[in-house]
Amino acid sequence: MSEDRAGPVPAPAARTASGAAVACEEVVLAYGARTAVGGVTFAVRPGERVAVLGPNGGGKTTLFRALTGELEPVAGRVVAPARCGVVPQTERSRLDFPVSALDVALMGAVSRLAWWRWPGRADRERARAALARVGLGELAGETFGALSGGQRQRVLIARALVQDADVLLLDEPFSGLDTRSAELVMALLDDLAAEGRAILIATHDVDQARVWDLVLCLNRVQVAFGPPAETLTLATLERTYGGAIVELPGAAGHGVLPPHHHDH
Amino acid sequence: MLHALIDPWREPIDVRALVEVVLLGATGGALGCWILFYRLAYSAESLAHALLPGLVIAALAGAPLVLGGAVGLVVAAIGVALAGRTPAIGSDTAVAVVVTGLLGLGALLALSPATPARLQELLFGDVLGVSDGDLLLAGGLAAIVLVALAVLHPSLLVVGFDRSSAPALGRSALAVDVALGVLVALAILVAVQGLGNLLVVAVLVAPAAAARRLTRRVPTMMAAAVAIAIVAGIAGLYASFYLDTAGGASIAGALVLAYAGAQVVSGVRG
Repeated sequence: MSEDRAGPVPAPAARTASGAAVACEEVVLAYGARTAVGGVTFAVRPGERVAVLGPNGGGKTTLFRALTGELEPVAGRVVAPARCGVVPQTERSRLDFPVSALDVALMGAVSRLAWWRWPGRADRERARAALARVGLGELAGETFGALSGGQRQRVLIARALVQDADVLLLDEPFSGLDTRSAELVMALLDDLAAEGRAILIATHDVDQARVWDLVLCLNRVQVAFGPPAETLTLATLERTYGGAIVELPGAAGHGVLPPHHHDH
Repeated sequence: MLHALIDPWREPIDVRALVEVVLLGATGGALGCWILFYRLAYSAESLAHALLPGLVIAALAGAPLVLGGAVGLVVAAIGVALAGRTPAIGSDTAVAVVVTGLLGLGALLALSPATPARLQELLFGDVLGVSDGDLLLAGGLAAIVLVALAVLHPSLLVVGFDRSSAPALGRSALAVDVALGVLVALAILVAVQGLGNLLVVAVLVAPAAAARRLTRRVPTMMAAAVAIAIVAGIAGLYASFYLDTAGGASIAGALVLAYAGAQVVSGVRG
């Protein structure tokens, strides 16, 4: 990829004819002979925030792997930009690794470099700017593993910003965060969406999904896709979570908890 | 005092040992950091032990040891890879069986009447017996390992830190793993001449482990590991000269002491 790295960051643009930033058409994903998730068809436009709901093993992570190009679909078509930023659960990275927040943010630059090239001065400036953007400019020199869960999450979002990702894929970004940290991350994601980035958030939290623009429900197949008000019905949630739904008394469908809600 | 410091280096053979130790230290210290980050210590030890039959057969045939070591490494790597796929008894156990089997086979061959009496040298190294040719070869291999580590540094960081996100950042975890495996094999070939196949793992693990205790960032850790490995190696040579102990074993002992020292220092610092 040749790109003017010193120039201004181009606004993330729609990459497909239909105007979608990321889309799947009748996609089936499998590990060997075992189908992980099938019938996936959706389109997300720039600036839209999507909650990806489903039980463990429902296909959320598998879908993300297909969107980054790591996993080829066995059927159907995946339309995704070259730059999909991944924000994993921070426990999945090495907390004992002796790197600073700046080192981690700088890793985003690697995606734009040939394998034998080192990030340069301009990349370092970008990484500093990205950390400032997520509110961690002061902590750039801090050891990654010594930061709080919410701060680590924001460092990984900064890494995706340095990557200049048009689409952000976040895996359970709010798990283990206190309310204040979760609010900070949430506000940051709203900002990034307002800039025209598409944001997909894998989550167990149905209540949180209600405030996003769209909801994608996966349980080995695509159960539903659409705006939360129409999509998050009791019937859909039962099919998404296999019927093991707890409905809070008197909540009239707004206090529905999936069975894994308290695992995280 | 000055004499005591200089005396060990009066013979060319001792100067060669010094150069060998510096090469080993630079390679083992730098690569050792990645062996630690990628949790490859057990694999490295397995490979180093399992290449013994290759060394012995080369010694029997009068072929260069490095050639025998290279063939032995390939056979060991294939054996370890196949054993790792045996689900029935668990991969750790399967690898241990293969490694012990190959080490035993090597010892059996080495103890046969036809073999020149060099088993000890193969097992524990002969840092005082390296020739100019050995040094050139070791220097070449060490240069390859160090240049490759420098070039691959950003990729090694990305994959080592967060394997699950590596594909999204345009790096293949598999390709990086394979490259690192090849470098570990090359480093073992460099080090086996000086330290022998039982002690080689000391220089690949101890300096990096010691440096990890004393530093907080990857570049400083790598620099510290190289320094510790070289200083401990030289200290081992002095010990060998004045206490008349085996060269390879003295170096390995000094490396382990350095780790213990680092542990104490980091404990005191809290």
